Amino acid sequence: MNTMAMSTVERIDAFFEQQAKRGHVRLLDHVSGTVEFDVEGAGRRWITINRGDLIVSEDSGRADCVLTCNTDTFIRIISGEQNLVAAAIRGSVRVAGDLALGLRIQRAVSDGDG
Amino acid sequence: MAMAKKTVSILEGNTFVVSDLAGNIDATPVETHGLFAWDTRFLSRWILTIDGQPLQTLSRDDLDYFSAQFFLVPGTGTVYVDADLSVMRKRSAGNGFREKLLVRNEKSEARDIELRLEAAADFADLFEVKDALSKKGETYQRVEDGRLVLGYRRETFVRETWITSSGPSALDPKGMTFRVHLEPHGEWQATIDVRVPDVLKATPPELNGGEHGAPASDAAPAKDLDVWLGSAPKLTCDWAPMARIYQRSLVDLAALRFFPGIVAGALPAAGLPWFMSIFGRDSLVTSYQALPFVPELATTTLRALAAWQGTRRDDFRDEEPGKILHELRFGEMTAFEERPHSPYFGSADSTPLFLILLDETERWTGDRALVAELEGEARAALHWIDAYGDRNGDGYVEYERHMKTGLENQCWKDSWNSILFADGSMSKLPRATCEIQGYVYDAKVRVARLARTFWNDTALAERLEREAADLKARFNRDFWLPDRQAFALAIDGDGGKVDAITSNIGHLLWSGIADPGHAAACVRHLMGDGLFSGWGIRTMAEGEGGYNPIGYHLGTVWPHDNSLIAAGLARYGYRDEAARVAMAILEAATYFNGRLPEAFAGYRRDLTSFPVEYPTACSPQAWASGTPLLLLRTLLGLEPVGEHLLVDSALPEQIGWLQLLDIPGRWRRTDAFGRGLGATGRGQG
Repeated sequence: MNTMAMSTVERIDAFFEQQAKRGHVRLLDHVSGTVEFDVEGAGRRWITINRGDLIVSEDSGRADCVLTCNTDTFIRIISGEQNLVAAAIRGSVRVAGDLALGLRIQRAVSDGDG
Repeated sequence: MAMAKKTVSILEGNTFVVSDLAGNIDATPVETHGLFAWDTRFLSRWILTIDGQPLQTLSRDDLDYFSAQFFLVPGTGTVYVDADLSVMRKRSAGNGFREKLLVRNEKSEARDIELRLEAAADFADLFEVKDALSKKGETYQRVEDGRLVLGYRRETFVRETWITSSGPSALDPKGMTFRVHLEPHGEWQATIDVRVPDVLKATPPELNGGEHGAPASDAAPAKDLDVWLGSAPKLTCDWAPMARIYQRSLVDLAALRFFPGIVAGALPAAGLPWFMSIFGRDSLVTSYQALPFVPELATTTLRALAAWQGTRRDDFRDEEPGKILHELRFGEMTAFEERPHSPYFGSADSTPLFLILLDETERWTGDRALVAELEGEARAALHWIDAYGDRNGDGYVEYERHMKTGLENQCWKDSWNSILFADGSMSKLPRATCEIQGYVYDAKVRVARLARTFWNDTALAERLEREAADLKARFNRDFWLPDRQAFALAIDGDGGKVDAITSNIGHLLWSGIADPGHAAACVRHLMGDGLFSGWGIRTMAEGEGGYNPIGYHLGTVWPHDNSLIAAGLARYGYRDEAARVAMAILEAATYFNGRLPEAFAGYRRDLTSFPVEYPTACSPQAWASGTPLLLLRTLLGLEPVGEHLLVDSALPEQIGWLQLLDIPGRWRRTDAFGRGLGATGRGQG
């Protein structure tokens, strides 16, 4: 897909659409929980993992972990350019709740060679 | 006056406090005082005065690893004048610290005093403290809602220290003042809390509603330590120092427990003061040493390292899919990616060590569920070994950093100049050190067992067994130095055999990769005058070009290194030699009040009548603290066999008998008894 031609919000939408199609993620076989991504200017999304099965929704409500950041930071994180741990301890991503869950899910859904 | 003065250190959880003997914190370039948490100094100044005068120390007590008590009187201490005021200062660490002050008027007249605590924080990253770097952001102070806030901001990075007191005090940006009226023989007391945030739940305080961790109550750590000591096996021994060394080990391992946050439970941090964090290699080795005593450390270590396992290629962090981390840090330089520790993966041995510990943990604990839970991570780790660890396809795991910020040496001897030829010249990168190949061999043999027994994957088991056998054959050919009758330390980037004689060859016995004939030759080196100093086996043999008895990895004796080598000697049937090495290290421990340092000098035992501590060694250091535990296992010959614990002791002549009761494991609890005096049936096996 040609991400260069897309707007920031479109890229974020495309990311979640792509995740929604993944179904099962082996890296998350032992993980269950919900992470809310609250991207300033691009709305809120929830990714729920149930022992590796991945569901994306736009109104899940309760989350075990909430990650809040701006669109630039979010794009950099999902593209694998920005390390989430560094961003979290720097304060450019704000974390509430279970950071461990947020980290695991982020590592599984971001682009990378793995 | 450049010499560092005596300090008092206390720690609990992820916090530690280093002060002078009066309890004051006064950080200077030569004094690494401070309240540290999450790799950041949250207090660099904390000085108590009465009526503007400093206090002098009458005595102090290190009550426990988590608390200390200071008995003080006014005066500078040059000329002692009968004091008319007594001051007691008791401090307990945990999410910051809590300090209790008690002042007593020893005269029969009432009086008024002004007691002041001066406070400041530089929020230095531990890396900055170590390398004396300057800050890029701004500090600030404010007084609000009855608390003094010391803060630091650099863009979105915010850290704050919150200080409150129980009694009425006047707060100002530089500290707090108590105006106290004391009746004749009257007393006054106050409790002061210094709080630091939990950085893993770290959001700037104004955004998370100001959530800061509360200092733990005084009673909790004491109770927790009692439970920890109470659940460890009970040791008795006719060699008197053993009980003290054993107790010291258990208490230091309790003190070094680090709560990784990412999973429940505690794992061993690497050491105080510089290494209070997760280190793949150190946490894995320490957990291995401690398995027969406190197996829960291994479970947390494996889970935490699995959670942080590499998933992508990231050259800045030397990260690759399946790789186990080297070091994780939370300070400002890591936050701004001036250092790669978020986490950093520059370690070529932590991945095979992870697999070794996983198998060993199941052998002791029978925790099948853990082996099932970590199957995916174990398979990814195996894949890393062959796909990424072997960088040039020669069948051996070698390392070379991708960026200048990474580590030059990614084996346990991680100083830049540790891998030398016999003539003292430097080897080239990438380097395949010998002990890493041993770990890979052991990892494959062990995971073959896990695959067959628990994962129902015979094909994988058979493949791993073939690969292990092939690796062993190749290794014994390719790494052997016929003219020196030893294994090479490494094969370097030019394909040259790095031919210095080092302690690394001892690890090959621990792993089982050495052929029996080659092992016998290695034992002659290990127990010969070049490597064995009398206090233990040196990292590099005396007589080598690079040898230096006080060189970090070039001739010093490292207790943890010796514990693995002694286990290796025993594995190959050299029980007398194992007992000699174990005894040398245990005797050395008696010169350090039972607490083994990270390393001590490699001087010959007959040259110095006591072991000389390495100048900047960390203390306590986790794998030094774990050393007596693995030595005890080796001396008693403890080995899980099926559902039972095999005991087959071989004690040094100084020890007549040794008893360990209530050893935890898959057998629930069992006892081991060892008797000295002409144990028979020893020899090569």
